[in-house]
Amino acid sequence: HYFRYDEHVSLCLEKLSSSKDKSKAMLQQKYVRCSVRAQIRHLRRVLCHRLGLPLQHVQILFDSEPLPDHMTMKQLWLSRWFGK
Amino acid sequence: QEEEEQEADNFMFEFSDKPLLPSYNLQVSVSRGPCNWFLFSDVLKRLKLSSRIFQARFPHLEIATLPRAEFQRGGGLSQVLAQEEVPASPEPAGGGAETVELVHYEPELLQLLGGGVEYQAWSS
Repeated sequence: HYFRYDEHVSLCLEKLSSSKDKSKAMLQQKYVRCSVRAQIRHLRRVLCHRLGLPLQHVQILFDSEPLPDHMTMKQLWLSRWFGK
Repeated sequence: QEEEEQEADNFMFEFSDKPLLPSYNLQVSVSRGPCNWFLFSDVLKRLKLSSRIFQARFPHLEIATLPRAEFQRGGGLSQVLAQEEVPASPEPAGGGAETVELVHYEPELLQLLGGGVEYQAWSS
């Protein structure tokens, strides 16, 4: 695979709900960069790991709409951010 | 060494509390495929170090030089880089530096820049 040579995307994550519990790690380091081939499920797992939360407690949203697990960052970028 | 081989097959996620320095996917020589680079000047500015001190302290971090035109062409080919993110040549054509200095994107450098790194296996 050699993902380390891939192009990158940079993301900025904002927590949706207002509850303050266990969200510190994410709010402290909300800027994320990864391969364009990484999928939503990978990002979810990384976030769960960092936040110490079970997988079903973390969802990735765009415009309040949950993103499918198998969507890649490139698909996300092309469908939602293209040219922005 | 083995660990490094394994990491190559995993997705690396970089986390930071500060906006990330832009990274560029560039092919710096014909004998080597494209990989990711920072602009050396961006890195020095963020670390508040001179080029000389940086290279003395971190001699193992790879620095490459690319003709400016080549850099702009490479950046311009990217689909995920907005056009305004590709730095325009600050010097007028013909004068000033015609090359850009790049430093290789790698986990150690990200940590120097204050970021965290996490891996996620593709198959997980």
